Amino acid sequence: MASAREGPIDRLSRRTGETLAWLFLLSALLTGWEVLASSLLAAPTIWVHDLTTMLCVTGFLLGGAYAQARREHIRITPIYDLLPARARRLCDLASLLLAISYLAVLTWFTGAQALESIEIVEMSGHAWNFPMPVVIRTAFFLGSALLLLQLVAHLVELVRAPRDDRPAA
Amino acid sequence: MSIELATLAMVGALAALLAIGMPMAFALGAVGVGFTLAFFGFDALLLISSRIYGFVTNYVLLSVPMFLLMATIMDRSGVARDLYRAMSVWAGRMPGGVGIMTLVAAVLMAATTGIIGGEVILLGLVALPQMLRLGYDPKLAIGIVCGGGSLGTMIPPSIVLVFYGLTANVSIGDLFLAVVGPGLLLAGLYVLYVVGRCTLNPALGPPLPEAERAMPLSEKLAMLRSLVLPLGIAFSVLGTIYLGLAAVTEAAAMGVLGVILAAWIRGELSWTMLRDASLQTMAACGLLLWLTFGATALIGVYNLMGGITFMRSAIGYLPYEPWVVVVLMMLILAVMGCFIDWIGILLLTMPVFVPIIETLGYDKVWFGVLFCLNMQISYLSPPFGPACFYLKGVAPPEISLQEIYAAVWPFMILQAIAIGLLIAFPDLALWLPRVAGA
Repeated sequence: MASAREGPIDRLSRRTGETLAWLFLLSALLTGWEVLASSLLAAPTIWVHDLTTMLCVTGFLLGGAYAQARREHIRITPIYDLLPARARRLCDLASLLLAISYLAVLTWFTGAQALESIEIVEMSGHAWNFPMPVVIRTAFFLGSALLLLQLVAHLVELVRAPRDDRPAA
Repeated sequence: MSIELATLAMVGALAALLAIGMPMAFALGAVGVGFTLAFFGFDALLLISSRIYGFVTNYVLLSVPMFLLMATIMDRSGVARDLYRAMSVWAGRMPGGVGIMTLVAAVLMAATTGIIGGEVILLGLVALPQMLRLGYDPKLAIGIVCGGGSLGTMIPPSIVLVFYGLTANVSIGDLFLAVVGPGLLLAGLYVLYVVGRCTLNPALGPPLPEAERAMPLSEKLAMLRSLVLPLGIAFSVLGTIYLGLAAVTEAAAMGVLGVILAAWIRGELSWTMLRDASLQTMAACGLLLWLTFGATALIGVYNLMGGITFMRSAIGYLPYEPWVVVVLMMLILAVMGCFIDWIGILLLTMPVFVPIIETLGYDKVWFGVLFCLNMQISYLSPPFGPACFYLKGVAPPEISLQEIYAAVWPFMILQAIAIGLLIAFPDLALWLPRVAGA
């Protein structure tokens, strides 16, 4: 994954992804423990459910940038593959610019929502009353912002790449 | 703008962005947010964001990373490989025997994984060379590997059904029960096909040579021990759901524990293995979820514009018999399946199709199984057939992608037959949940 051209933003997305990836395993272990605790020991908890939700949702939201750093987002390429290198470059440029505009709107909007949520300390209202919405909305903002940065980094990389980047074939 | 025109504009914009190779997650989101801003203004984004918030905080969604984790750890252990070996020694002198045993092993593996990919790769690495070595017709062998390896989502657990359940608001437990019959039916059709072709022409699937068949029965039975771990893993997931002990997310967590335990028993557990599996899960979740956000934005604004109601009346009141409408939907899904991944198809079409299905008086669970069956075709159909790509990645270099596509079409016909049977006899799916629920 770590390519020679890895820039600071790629490294940030990758490290964030590598760290947060453990959240899923942790959630699985917590949930497994909760199932055993509540069925065998008759000692159900009120917090595992919400805690694992927060952990996994954080992973989901920050995972977008990680998938982009690995360039794994699903694309449909039969037409794209037929195009000459220059046209492909234009396509990449257009799609990155458009994706950046989408993420910019999303980052702006989720940022406003996260601020609002932090100001009023929005609570979950569940049995375990924790400011879960604050965590999730903040994660949404951070996930969008990191994905936005990652897309901008890829745009810079594309613009800087030599123009006559012909395919290996 | 009239809704007909808006629908066309939306589909056109999306198609254009996808055609230039824009990642689907961003193309959906850009069109969705673009239309929202153009028609309703900045504040309307609130409606979309609260839909997304509701979707991600749904506890059932947590089963997705856990099923992914289970499958990715499983792929890195030798559990499935041993299972294949244990099954293949039973092939005997029957024509096509190894092919049939490959399909049996594929069904058993499918019960421990909810995705496709790992299974196709494993069968491509283990079963395909074995069949080619015996002198199998390469096309038949390739078809068995791609068809059998794709059963991962047709035998519970199944991530496709988890997403369907979330989108259509149906019980995942019911879906997991309903898919068993059709999943086994499809596998059965594959077996019949292999038996039929090899009986007519035994040269297509020669039996194991005498020397390899000579394995004593006690040794063959001893090899069956390698069934214990996969069956234990499958039980830890499906057993807890079917017995009503745990909801789907908790069952998926039990599956992760089960597969970690199995890897530990086999002495294969390591930090590197868990780390790699977690990273693959992270990337897969990132792309699945961001695709979902984009689709939620698009479908959300389309609904605000009255699009869902429009489609419902346009398709729901077509002057045809209800079953013709279902067949039309299946055709639409199959065509989309040639180009788009299952998740994109599901998120875009199900919010429109499911209400129509309800209006027509059909069962949503039944339709979910039909959808899942239809996606089996999409795994194989060119130009975008993920199962074929996975196999190409691990097959001997002399096997080209064209050859793989040329090999899988009989299996696509079998899938279409299974869809036809399920439309004609809904009880193939609905019988089991009814009996279990009674």
